[in-house]
Amino acid sequence: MCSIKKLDDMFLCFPKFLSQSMEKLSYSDRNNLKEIRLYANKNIILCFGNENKFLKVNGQVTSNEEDDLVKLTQFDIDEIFKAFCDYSVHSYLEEISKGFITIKGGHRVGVYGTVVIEDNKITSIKEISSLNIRVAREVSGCSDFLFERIFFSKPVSTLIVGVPNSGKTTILRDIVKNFSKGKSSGIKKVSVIDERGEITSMYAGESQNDLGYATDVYNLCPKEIGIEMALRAGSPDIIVCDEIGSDDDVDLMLKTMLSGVKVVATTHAGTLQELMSKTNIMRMLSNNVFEKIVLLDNTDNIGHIQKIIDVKSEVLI
Amino acid sequence: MRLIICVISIFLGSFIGMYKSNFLKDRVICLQQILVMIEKMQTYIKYERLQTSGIIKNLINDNNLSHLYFLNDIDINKKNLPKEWEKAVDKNKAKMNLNKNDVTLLLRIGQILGASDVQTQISQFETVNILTMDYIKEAQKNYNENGKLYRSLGVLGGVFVAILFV
Repeated sequence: MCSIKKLDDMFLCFPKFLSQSMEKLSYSDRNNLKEIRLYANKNIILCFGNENKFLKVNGQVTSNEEDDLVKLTQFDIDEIFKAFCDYSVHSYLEEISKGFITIKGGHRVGVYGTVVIEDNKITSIKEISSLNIRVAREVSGCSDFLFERIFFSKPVSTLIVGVPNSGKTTILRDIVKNFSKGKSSGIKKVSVIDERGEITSMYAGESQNDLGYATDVYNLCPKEIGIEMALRAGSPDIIVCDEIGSDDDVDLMLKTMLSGVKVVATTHAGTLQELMSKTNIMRMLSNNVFEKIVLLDNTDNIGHIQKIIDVKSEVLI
Repeated sequence: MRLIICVISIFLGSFIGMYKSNFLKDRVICLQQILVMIEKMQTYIKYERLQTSGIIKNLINDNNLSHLYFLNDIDINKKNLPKEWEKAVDKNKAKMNLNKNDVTLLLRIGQILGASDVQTQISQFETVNILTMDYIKEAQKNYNENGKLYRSLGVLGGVFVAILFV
């Protein structure tokens, strides 16, 4: 079941005129809302799947430039940004320097503006020009099919493949919850290495998503550090991480495999051919790091599975 | 009867003088505590990266800031803390014996707190610090010059009224 996470806390951060318009959004618009894009001195854009529309003062949406569209000033953007940071911008610098912040409800806010670089490292973003809010969703049960087909008796190392917005992270989150809640032969200890804060959506030290009973999270932690720490300290049954594919990831995944811990990870690719063209992924597959590949559909149906492939036998399941 | 009126007059005059003198003294104390508060804020931001609500909570519990009555009126559970700060300062400005410039300074501190990255906040607080020190000097000078005068005038005024009755 797909459910949009609570928006009320987010609306509290908006100026009154904007929250009033947002509250007037129709039920279906609210439910299909994927992104809210706020620009200084420009109209607000709401993204519904592949459609991008302007927000009107009365809460309706339109594709045309009309007179009664909701517009924000630079001051409004600054105030919204500060409110998103709980008026503690200094406490959010680590996240801001990565280009986003996670707000209550697990929604993710991309921050755009003038990037401050010190010692070749991004330290902050100033003069915020726009904010892109990715509305958090929980698709409960979207990994049930995988548990019926491949995880029913024991965890297996699995690579989830899909294009952006195909629901890789959503399905990964549900897998974490299901393993941790004992859907695969009892409760499993899961270590989540959440490099970009997408899987767990931590806010004030608390995950905004249901991650089950036995899940340990390293938030905003580089994979090489997180996996090392998890293997040493967490004695996990499964390690979960997002977006693998770099040179370093190959060694990391091999190391994890050798330690006997199963890995569930995601990577970008639209088709199997595209996946096979990635040298590092091929190195992992040829070394049997992953036992199964799950290819997601590129449709509006988030987390829809196109194919499951057994790596050893190269057979579709 | 006359004697009683004379005593009351002297007592009342002295009281008014003391009150006016204390008014000046309170301003000095308040400004000194604002300076301490800024320094504490800088520490919390720079070394502990505390959230604004946490910083205010610590300031509320700080015994060294007992004259900054507005702190107790800030509801740290409310979302918009700068607004809460402003409301609390506005409510308590008379009680703290601060003048218009001091209140503006206090409001500015509320606007700076949590509004930007560490470095920017520290730099802005440095500027406010300098201004606060100037205000303290001015308030101290004012107290030294006028505090004694108010007390003496109070007593003398009381004595004068008593003589008139006699």
